[in-house]
Amino acid sequence: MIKKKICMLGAFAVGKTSLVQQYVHSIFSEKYQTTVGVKIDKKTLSVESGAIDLILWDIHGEDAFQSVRTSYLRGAAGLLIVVDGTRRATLDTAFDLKTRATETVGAVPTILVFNKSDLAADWEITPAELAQVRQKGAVTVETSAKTGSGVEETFEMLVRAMLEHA
Amino acid sequence: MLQDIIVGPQKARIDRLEGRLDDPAVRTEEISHHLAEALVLRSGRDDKIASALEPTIADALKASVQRKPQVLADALFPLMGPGIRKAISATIMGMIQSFNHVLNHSFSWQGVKWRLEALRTRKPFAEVVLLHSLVYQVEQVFLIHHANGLVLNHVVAPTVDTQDPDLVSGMLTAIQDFIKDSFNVEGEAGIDTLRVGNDRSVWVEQGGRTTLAAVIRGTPPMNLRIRLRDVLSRVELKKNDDIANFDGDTTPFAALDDDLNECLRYKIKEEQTRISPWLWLIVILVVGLAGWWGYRSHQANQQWARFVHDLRQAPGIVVTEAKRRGDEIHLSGLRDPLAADPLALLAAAGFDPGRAVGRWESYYALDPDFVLQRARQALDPPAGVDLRLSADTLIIEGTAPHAWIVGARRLGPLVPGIRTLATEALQSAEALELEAVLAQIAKTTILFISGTSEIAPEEAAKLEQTAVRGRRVQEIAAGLDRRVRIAVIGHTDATGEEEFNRALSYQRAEKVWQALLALGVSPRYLAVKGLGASDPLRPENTEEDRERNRRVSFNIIWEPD
Ligand SMILES: Nc1nc2c(ncn2[C@@H]2O[C@H](COP(=O)(O)OP(=O)(O)OP(=O)(O)O)[C@@H](O)[C@H]2O)c(=O)[nH]1
Ligand SMILES: [Mg+2]
Repeated sequence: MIKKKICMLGAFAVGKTSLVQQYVHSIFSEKYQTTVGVKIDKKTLSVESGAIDLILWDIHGEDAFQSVRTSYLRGAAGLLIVVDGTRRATLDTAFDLKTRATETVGAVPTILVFNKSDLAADWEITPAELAQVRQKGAVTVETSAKTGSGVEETFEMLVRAMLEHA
Repeated sequence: MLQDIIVGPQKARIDRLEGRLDDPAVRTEEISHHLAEALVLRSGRDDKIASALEPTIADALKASVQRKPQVLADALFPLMGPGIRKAISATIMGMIQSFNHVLNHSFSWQGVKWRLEALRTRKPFAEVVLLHSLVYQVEQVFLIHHANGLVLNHVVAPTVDTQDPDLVSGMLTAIQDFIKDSFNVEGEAGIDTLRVGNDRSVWVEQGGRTTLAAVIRGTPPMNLRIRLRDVLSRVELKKNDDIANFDGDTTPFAALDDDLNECLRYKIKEEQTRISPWLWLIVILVVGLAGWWGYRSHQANQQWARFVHDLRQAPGIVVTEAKRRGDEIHLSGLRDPLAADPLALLAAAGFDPGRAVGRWESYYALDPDFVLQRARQALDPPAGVDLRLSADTLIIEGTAPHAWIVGARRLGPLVPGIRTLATEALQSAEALELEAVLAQIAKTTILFISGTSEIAPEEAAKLEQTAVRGRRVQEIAAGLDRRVRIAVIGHTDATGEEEFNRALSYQRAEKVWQALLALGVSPRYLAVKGLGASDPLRPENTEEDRERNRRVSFNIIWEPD
């Protein structure tokens, strides 16, 4: 059995927990319950080479009072850094986190996830800015934890990258 | 030839070598020298020999089993026998233990609570009891990779509910990381114990690249820590390379099951293995009942022995059989009709006469008591008669009616156990009376007027009384078949002629004789005699003396039978 650790990173309330819940349990809640510390979930995925257990570390969001403990990242085989499209500042946090994460785990496959695509109308981040980010070499996706759009694809994409990377 | 010169000496060697290579017998011989060493050498290098031999050996075994199964059975038996015995005894011990356990807790208040818990959790009651009887139990063991908190291997004790080990391990790692960060712990040192809820703890043992975490219920002994450490270092040594190169593939660590299982230890409370008070109660009851039963049957046996002894001692009873078959009592033998009733004796000894079957033959016991009693029954002696026994002689003493005496004389010797009678001291009542009446008559005198055969008028009553007595004598003597006569004897006073007096005395006697006849006395019982003045009653000095001597007296004459 292959097991891989994946970490969810991002500013607070961007939808990390919501993405995991959508991916693992196919549920979504409007209610915001902030994550304290870490919450771990598991999803078994079938790939060409067989089954793979994804151990998903849903880490609390980065905010003014609490910065992410990099020790949580140890041994991660892949990262999902989540950005809330409706809040510009979360993109800055994402970059900051990416830098710090790389210091800890090295250059593991990482995807920049722009969440809340269902609220596209309210997005502060413009398509132009997105394109700019992509130009810098970052892998980006757009998801909605609410509708489930792009969620499964995002995780599968990361796993594929992880397997290639290994 | 040049060739011969150059290679000549070698030629012989080459021929010899060729011969060795071509001759299969020689080669076999040579291989046999090195075969064992060759096998050892190759086995050390890889497992080709094992795989090459495997099918052959399997076939050989199969063929052997088919042809001679006994050989293999004999070979395996020493291995399997003890194993089977051990398994069976373990099963039985387990059964007794769990029976004891369940019994221990079946009736207590705690037992009721646990029963409810069993209902609620849908677990067997015995399992709930066991759970509560544990001092500690290592429920799960995780082998966790440091780098990413992934579970390399995980073992669980049977009957323990678990969450997904990956999630638990992840959280455990996260918690450790959190604590290490929060308290600025340096290096590998970190938490080694976590408490979860009331009675669960997680013991964490840190190795070089992995962590061994044991989830424990209850209070484990400290030496468990040593065991965990031993297992961890052994595991890290065994799988050193796999751990170092770990990138998510847990397959190589499946082989560590046995090592981790060593950590799944548990201990059951001493108190619980103690024998249940209920079991004790049952044992005490059984022993008590057995004791009581034994005491009762001992008592009954004693009682029976006493009864049989008494029955044998009882006069007039000869026991030939006295047996108890279960509840039934069989008695048989000889019994004098006068002897005690065996059934009454049985009842007196405390047995139920209703359950007794008796077969008694009648006989006459020669026991003195019985003989005497029998005599008494047969003779029915009147009051005043005493019966005694001296050997086989019945001694009859006292006074009895003549008729009874006659009967007794006849019946006495017929009573079983009596040969002769001794009646010397036995008197007939009638004979006594006869003598008494005769004595009275003999004391009587009838007086006459002087010089005449005229009975003095005042003597009439006396005469009449004598007649009554005479008649009674008659009666009794007839009954006794005795011959007796009352001699009526006439007397005169000394005055007058002797001749005259003799005649007068005779006339006087005849006068009384006639009067008695007239009064109903039979002449067969009378005799008449005249003695004149020859037998005076008293010397004649006064007129009164003469008056007394003018008389008729009575004398008794016994005639031979
Ligand atoms: N409309 C919409 N709302 C979303 C989406 N994803 C998350 N939310 C909402 O955003 C809020 C925060 O979501 P969470 O998933 O708890 O965010 P988080 O990143 O886990 O937050 P922290 O744990 O505090 O760091 C919740 O009220 C969610 O309902 C989305 O895709 N669309
Ligand atoms: Mg969250």
